[in-house]
Amino acid sequence: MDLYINGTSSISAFDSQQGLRFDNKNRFICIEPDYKLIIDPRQLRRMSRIMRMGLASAIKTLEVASVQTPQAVITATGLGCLDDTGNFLVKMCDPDNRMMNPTAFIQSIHNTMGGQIAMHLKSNCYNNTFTQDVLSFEHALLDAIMLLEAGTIESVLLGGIDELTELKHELTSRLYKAQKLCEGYFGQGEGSAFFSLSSVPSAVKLEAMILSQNSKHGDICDYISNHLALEKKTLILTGKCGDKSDEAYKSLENIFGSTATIDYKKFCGDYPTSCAFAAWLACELLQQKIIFDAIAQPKHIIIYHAYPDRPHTLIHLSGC
Amino acid sequence: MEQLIYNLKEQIIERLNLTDTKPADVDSDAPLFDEGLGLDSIDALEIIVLLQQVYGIKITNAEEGKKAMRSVKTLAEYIIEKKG
Repeated sequence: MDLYINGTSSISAFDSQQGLRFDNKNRFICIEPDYKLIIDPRQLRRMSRIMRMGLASAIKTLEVASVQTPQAVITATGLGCLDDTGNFLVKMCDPDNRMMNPTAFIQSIHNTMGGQIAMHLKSNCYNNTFTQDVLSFEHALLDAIMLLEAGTIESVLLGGIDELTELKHELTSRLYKAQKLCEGYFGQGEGSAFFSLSSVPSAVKLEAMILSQNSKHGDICDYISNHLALEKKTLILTGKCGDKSDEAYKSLENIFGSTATIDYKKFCGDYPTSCAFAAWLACELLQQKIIFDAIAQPKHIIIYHAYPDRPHTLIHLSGC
Repeated sequence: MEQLIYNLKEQIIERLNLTDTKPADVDSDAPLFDEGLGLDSIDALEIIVLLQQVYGIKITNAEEGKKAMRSVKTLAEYIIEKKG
């Protein structure tokens, strides 16, 4: 079954008009809209930043796709509602605190985002959250593909979202320094990107998705080689972070040859579901909503991730 | 009493993140739930936590709590009653 992306929306540190939002701590910070224009202020008051970003991009995506109620809502998040989790845990560590505030606890779980979307849409359709660290979005996409291919539903709202908090930045920076991984590192980031998927033909087609369990990633290797032999108008988006972990890409880089390549994390920073940003960027590039002067207009975009000691992944999108 | 009512309004606004609402906008006699401020059950929990953390008052009887949380004024009266 052919699957298409009918609508997308993203909140990230990158805006084709405003450029990049980057702070003095080497962090990519989201350029956020005025949420009051998108979400009911009564709902907004209890939402943390990640929920605002997620719900706003989900609403916008459905608007773009002209889908009133999707038949499935699938969200991906590596670290979930981190700010609420941090608030809750910090208060829990206070020995004098005999009573905890309920809101942060209720909203600290990973599937808060999916639940919030369902409540906003007043929908009790299939609702699932995937949280497999850096592979969260890929697993969520796989679930969306299987649901649509089973033929029981016609549209899926799929999103990947993670937030960067002070606590996460501090802890991860310490960890990176300890592992001496930070040299050349692009920086930590955050973002939300949502997609409306269906079998209705649209501007962007989902050609393939591979989650390689093969230790030498022969399936991804063969796919890229075969594709590049036939199609020259291809752009490769890699999930490199700029640090030592990029060595995992070496095994496949010789196959890319002279194919144009972009390290997309230079635009959004490094975060577990940044692959969703890459997919959004690919959709924008294929539809010429974003044009990079140095790169010829691509007809195909391959998003490739090589994680050390984990399955490598490939997502192939094409413009119709 | 007036000062306590004002403090409660400020604390509720801050705790429940009622942005764009000022103490003067909150009617002391208006119902806190459904109508008036339109609060819900999670807000009720937040107010219970507020009473315990700020005023050291623990609501143990649900009926009593329901009566106390009818409005900001009844909440203030409840605090005065419990604090003696």
